[in-house]
Amino acid sequence: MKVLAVSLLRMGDLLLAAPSLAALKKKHPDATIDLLVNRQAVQAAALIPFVNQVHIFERDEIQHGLLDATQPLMEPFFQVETLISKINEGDYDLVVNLTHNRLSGWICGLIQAKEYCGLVIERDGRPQFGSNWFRYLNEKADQLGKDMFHYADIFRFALAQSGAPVEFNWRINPDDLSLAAQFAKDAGRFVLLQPFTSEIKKEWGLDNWRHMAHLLSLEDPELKFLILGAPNEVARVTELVNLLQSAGVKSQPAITTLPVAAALIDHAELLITGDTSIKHLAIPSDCRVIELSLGSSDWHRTGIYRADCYILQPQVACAPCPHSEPCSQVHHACAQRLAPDVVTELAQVMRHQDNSRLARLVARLRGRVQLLRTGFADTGYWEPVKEGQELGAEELAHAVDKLATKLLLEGQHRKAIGEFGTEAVRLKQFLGREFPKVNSLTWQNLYQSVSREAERQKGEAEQITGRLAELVQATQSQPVVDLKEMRLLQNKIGDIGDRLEVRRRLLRSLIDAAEVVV
Amino acid sequence: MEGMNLEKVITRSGETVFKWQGRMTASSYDPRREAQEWLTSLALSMASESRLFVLGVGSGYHLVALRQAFPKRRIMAVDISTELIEGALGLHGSSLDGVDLVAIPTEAELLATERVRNYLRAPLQVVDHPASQQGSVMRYKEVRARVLNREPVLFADWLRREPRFARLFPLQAIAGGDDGQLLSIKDLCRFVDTRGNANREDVLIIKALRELVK
Repeated sequence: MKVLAVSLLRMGDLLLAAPSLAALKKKHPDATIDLLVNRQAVQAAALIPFVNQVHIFERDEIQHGLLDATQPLMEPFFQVETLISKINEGDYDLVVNLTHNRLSGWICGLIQAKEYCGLVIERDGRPQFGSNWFRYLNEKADQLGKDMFHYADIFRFALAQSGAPVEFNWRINPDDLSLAAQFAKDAGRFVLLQPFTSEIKKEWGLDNWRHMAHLLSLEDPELKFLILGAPNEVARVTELVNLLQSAGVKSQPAITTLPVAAALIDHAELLITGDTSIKHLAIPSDCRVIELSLGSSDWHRTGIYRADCYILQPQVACAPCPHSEPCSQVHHACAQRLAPDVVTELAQVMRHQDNSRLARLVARLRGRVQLLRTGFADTGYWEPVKEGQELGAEELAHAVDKLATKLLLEGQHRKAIGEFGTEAVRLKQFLGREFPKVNSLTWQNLYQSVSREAERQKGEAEQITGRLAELVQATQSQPVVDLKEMRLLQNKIGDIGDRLEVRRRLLRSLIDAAEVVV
Repeated sequence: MEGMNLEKVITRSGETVFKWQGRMTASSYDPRREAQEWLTSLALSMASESRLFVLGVGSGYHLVALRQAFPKRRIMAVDISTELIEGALGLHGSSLDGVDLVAIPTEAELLATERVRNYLRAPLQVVDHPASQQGSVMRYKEVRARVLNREPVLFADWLRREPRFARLFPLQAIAGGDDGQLLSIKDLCRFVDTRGNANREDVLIIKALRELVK
């Protein structure tokens, strides 16, 4: 089987797609997987172990040609045509679009294949999704900060597999591995810091990093801090190193390539990072990670896709803010709300596995900063848990809704025997483990509360569906409204009905699994 | 090889260069060094696979340098003088192997030559060689405009010879455009006829390009 995966966003987006490609490779061990990426992502593409060939979309060159009046008018056209022609020589069985924007949709429409998964846009502008999961992604695209599946889960479930993620390692050549090992040996015990991101509002600020590191080094003076940076970030990295050293903190720059950075992560005691591609490099590593979710970072979709890491999300009304727009606040509210000693404290909790210290930290953060422990639910998807959170009706409803969405997208309700029972047991196991203090009476009350709400919504949806059907009938002979729009609405309500039915069946299975009398 | 307009000159470095209609077409001191400096000034990308379209054959040293620097890239060079082309071939022989030399006495003949039209239907970088253009700068400017194809009248003329693209871009809309305004892909995206009988692939390419200029 020949597969072409299309990723025309940034390097971090490609790295985040690696788990889904690993799952695809596991499902189809004989498949060859090629990539189509922007030139800037080529280094990241080389890291993915099961990638065969990489086609390059010269976005910058083509865009430059579009604006450059000294080049032939049709030059960009012929560049794209030549690229597509070369790609189509590959004779692909499956094209997977991991980008989900209009540019990639048109490009995938040009690539010949037997099957498509992900957005493909046809000549008349109609989108095809090839999978319910990509359709779901499309519907949720604008809902920043709302509960939804992690992008890596969406890709994984669309492509291959609904269980736990497949393990994999980056493809790093021996020279880079040796370089990283030598770096690590010279450094001794160290914490890796990745302070710089693609957007200034996602950054915490040099002074906060300095303060945090200084506090940490007071408790452990021999601990070193390595500051990661790309070659074009030398000046900024040097500035931070100088700040740290003037505060008496052992530190040094780690200006390095992507493969060496990936190898270096494996040697670190801890990685503290903003929302960057470095975070995604840590996916296959055992190194624990603290992610600072600031600015436009949306942890729901792109949080560190690992278990046993932590995400710090300051609770400010404007988070997450839109990409590519300046901060809307007078001061950088989210960064200000995240105090350096909080990060220090969390770092110590993780380094020393100190649960009592964690409990004190959680109490201190209540209402100010969310502390999320990452992990995967028994149902297979990434599901972080807010430390200190009690299981209430809202939390149970969220858990049921999320699993119901997964079952709906998998079409379990259309199968003769759906996976409701099995998945309900898994969800119950997960909730029981994460909220061990919840007693059976509380479970009973919770189930009742959620069940009643589900029944109410189902009744409402049925009424609306019925009413719409009447309207469609009545207007067929005398159209006074947009029939097409009404039918779309009718379908949408029908979808809601399906959702509620899945929810009801799942809840019933959950109740049976918990052996609770309702 | 020498004709009415063509004269051989021996340079200080002992090389042969040509004078065309009384004007030097390369350095009278060191044409090879001049060619290398010209090549460096272009800063052409080593990674690119775009074809090269050179305006001016002159004494040919720059083409030799180009061929040596990019042995695998396709190179076409045009000149208004058949004598200069023959002279360059005679002077450099196999060093110009693989370089397609085409005589274009007038800019109108550019598109009339099928070989050139075919060559222009691919990713292309247009390169000027000023020394070769001495005394005929305006004519080369017209050739250049033809190749860049950004003036509405010239683009419309090109469309008349390219039925595939004439189905994509309505001729009336293009020809009626403002001559003073150079066309851009953004303009073409506005003109493009997506419902007609243009190739599906051509329509999708234009739509993809439109996303990059938004």
